Amino acid sequence: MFLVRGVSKVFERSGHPPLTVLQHIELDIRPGEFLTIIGPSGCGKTTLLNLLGGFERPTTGTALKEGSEIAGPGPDRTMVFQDYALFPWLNVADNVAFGLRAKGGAKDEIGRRVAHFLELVGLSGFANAYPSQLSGGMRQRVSIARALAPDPDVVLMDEPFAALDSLTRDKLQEELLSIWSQSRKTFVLITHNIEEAVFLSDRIVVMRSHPGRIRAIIDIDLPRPRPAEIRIRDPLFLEHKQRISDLVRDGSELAGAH
Amino acid sequence: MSVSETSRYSTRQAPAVDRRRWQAIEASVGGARYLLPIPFLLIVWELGARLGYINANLFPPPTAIARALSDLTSTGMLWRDVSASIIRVSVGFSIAAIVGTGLGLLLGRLNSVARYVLPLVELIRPISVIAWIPIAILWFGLGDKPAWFLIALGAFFPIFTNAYDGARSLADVYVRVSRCFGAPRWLFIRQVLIPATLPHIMTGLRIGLGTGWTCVIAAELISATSGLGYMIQLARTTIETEKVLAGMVVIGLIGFAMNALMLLVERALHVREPKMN
Repeated sequence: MFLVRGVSKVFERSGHPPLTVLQHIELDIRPGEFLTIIGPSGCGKTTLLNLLGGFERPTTGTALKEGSEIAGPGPDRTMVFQDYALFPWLNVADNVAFGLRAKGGAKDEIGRRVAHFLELVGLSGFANAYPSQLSGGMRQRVSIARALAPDPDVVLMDEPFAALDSLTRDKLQEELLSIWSQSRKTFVLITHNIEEAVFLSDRIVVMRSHPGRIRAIIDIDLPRPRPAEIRIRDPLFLEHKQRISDLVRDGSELAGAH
Repeated sequence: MSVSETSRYSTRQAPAVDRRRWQAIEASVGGARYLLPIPFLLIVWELGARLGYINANLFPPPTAIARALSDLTSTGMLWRDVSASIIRVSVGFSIAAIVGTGLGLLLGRLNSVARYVLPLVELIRPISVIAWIPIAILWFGLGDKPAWFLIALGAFFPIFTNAYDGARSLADVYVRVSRCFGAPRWLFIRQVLIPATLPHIMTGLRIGLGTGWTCVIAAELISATSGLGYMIQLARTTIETEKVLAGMVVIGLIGFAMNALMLLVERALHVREPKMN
């Protein structure tokens, strides 16, 4: 799906030395996989996601999607933002329809798809509500429905659950997992929550900071479907969690020694 | 048992209802009290004129103005002038609304072009509309056209500036979402840019309409043969001071009503400040 080869990203800053945010990034993302990027703040994980999304261009190296250079954002790679980024002046249905209208299509076909994806995220009764009338968890569901509606190849998620309380977060993780397994799309998610990463992912990319580099790529071979309670009960799950935790901590300590 | 319950209920409820009603009365009286200087001023003026302390030829008393006003309305002359002015302001304001909003939104999103246009706008802005009247007459002759031009010119600046500021302050995240979904231009304008900047646009339109209304009077003073501005100018030449003042009162009231109307439209549109959370 994605092929990232020798990518670095340097930000020029006036009055300061240039800042190297990413260095020597090599990464393959396979079609249909759930890949999570985890790391301490300052590790460039958001910049990496923006490269895949087409919002940033690499300073060196290449970022390819299905063999061609990523030249800019596009509806084949939709995004879910941490702060939801819904349009407060549009109701839920119109927010979900945004990507569909951007693509173009018959009005009733758009209506059908909106209804389908609202049902998928459990918000069928809220089509006419405005984002300000919804809880944080519900807003993020709308955002997920909006990202899925135009049928992208990849859904990119930038710390989608970071602003939610832990109960809502657990629930949304479970729902996201079932949405992903139904859709069979490629999901790339950024998080700093280790449990979230292990629970959701096929593979986890652990990054370290200053400059942002890939420290390790870990396969999570937990069987699927993954029931909610493996997060507290499954010894293999906890083992993975421990391992990622060590890697993340190690990554930030390395940064500290810099 | 049930009786005592009812009575307890009523004794508890009655004072609350009374208090609420009293508060409502107090609120309306409280608001009205700020209008008290107006009748006070009118009475002083009236008495001053009648007792000879004020020159009634220059300051005809309120009753004389009221009489002039009722004469004007009964002959139907007033309505002719009022409608002429309102139609003129509608035309000029519509032109300014379309051009000002369109250009403001466009330049607000195109910083590279705005850099070239803004100095020009800032150079023309300080030239008062009055100073444009001679050239407007040379260009358009007398009648409606110079008035349309002057109103549009006067209303353009507040409308343009507010739309421009609104478009400039559009939150980056909405632009990102639009780009992420590959939104075509029409969708971005209709579902993102205009709703996001609507509070700014509405403010600009309201101020622009007020400016347009002052411009129509100025234009009619010199370059028209109808309208409220023309009417008070004509009344001056015949030294009918009370008619001049009656016209001014009407101008003030209509301007006030227009502003109130625009505020109502703003509220009806349910303008929400775009908020992230």
